[in-house]
Amino acid sequence: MIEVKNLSKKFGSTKVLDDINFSVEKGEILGFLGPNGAGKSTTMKIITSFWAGSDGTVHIDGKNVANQSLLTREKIGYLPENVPLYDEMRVFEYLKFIAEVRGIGKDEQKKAITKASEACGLSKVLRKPIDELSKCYKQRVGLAQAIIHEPDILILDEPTTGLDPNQIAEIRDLIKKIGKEKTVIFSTHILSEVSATCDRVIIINEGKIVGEGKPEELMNKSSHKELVYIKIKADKEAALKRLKELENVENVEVKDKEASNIYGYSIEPKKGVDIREYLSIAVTQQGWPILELRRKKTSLEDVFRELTK
Amino acid sequence: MDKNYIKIIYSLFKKELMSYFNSPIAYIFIGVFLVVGNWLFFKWFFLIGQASMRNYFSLLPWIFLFLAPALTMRLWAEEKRSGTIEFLLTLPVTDWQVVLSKFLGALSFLFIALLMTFTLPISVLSLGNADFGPIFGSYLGALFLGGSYLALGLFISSVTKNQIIAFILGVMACFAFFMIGADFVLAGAPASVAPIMKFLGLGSHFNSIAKGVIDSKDVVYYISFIFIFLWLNARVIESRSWK
Repeated sequence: MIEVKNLSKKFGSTKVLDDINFSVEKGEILGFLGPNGAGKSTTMKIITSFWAGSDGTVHIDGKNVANQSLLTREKIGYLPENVPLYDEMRVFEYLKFIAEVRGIGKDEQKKAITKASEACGLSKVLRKPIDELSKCYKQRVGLAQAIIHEPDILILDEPTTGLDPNQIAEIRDLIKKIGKEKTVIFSTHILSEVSATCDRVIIINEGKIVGEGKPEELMNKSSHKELVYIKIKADKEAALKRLKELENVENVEVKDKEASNIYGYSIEPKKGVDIREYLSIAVTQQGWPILELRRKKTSLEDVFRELTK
Repeated sequence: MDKNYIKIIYSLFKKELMSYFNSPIAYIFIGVFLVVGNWLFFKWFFLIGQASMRNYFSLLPWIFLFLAPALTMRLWAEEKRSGTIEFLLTLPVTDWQVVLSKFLGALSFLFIALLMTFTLPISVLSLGNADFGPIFGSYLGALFLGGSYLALGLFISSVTKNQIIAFILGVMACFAFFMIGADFVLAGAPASVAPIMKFLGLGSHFNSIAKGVIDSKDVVYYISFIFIFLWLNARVIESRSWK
């Protein structure tokens, strides 16, 4: 669906994008992750033909965004960063304007506007001027504008920045709902968002792709250590000794103390081994009650920080 | 394809024209234009006692000098400042379509403002037996001159993010192009370049039109002037990719 090949972008002598390669399949939700200024927005601006790349190509359904841009633009719905809108227009006027420019026929315009505004929960504010809307509603207008012509591809540049947690959840659900039938690329630096919404993640740093794959794959690949935390009611020294003797255990540390004989231990197992089951049996055999047991998985945050350091 | 091309320009144009009326700019503009124009006209009209509008049309370039850049200053500068340009230029439209529709929107607004001065020719025609022909010709000329100012102002708006800068530079550029053809400037210029300056000046072409004479030479000049600056404008918009 989207093919990015050897894409580079220079501003003067600074390289903002350096030989980027990736492709997106139909129906996929791709998360674009990276610190501020890593090149996420630049890549999106090139895919949407706002800018041209300095080198390399971007194809959408086999069409080049540089010289067949009128055709590729039709397939894309784009929400730029910070959601720029024509503030003085009313929501309805604005959506009608987009529908007209997008070449939706007079008869279907009304239907398209109703459909898009219902999908984005805008029905109640259609008559309001855009500058009177809250940030969350502006974001919805931006989304409605992007889906009004039922594009195959949605490109959303940081669609949730500046929203409160409830609104973020709302917009995220909206993206998930809309993304069911569409190919979506969205950028963010909020990590929980990615694992919650995306099929695949691309981590980009200083203009280069530094990680790519499903969120779980990325976490597995990481060299970050997976730890098991266990809280036992037992004498500290005895427990430490017994835990260290266990098979596949590399290291044990005392993590915290709850009461005089209740301690929490952090256990580092050999890489790739799940010791939880074995651990719980071994501890109960000693007659020590287990109060807590959990695996501390590598989070995407760990991966992100490791790759973009 | 062609039909669609025009249709898109029309939709963009409608939005541009509407955005004037969505903000107070339109009403302030038309108000100032009518008050200043009428006042200057009637101040002399009864003193001179001639049933003609020549006086009015020789003043018009000076009024336009300030009002045309006021109409165009916002058009690109504001899109750039607020970021809507990014969204506008990723719609399936060409840069040229956008430039053209912005120009046509501004021109139509100026046309509406000119239409509202209809009370002047009516007064003149009812008070004496003035010729309708020259008055009509002068109106057409005013539209050409205004269009040239607008094309120039629009181009200047495209090179800055700041409306105020766009306005001031616009006034200066319009003034410069208006003055290089003026008689007293030509008198001081070297004889070799004087004819060229006279040809390039927006004002020298307006003088004959203000008298009510429409010469095809002047019309061609104005249309080329407008076209050149719209073309430059499209290049500037395109240049976002060259960086």
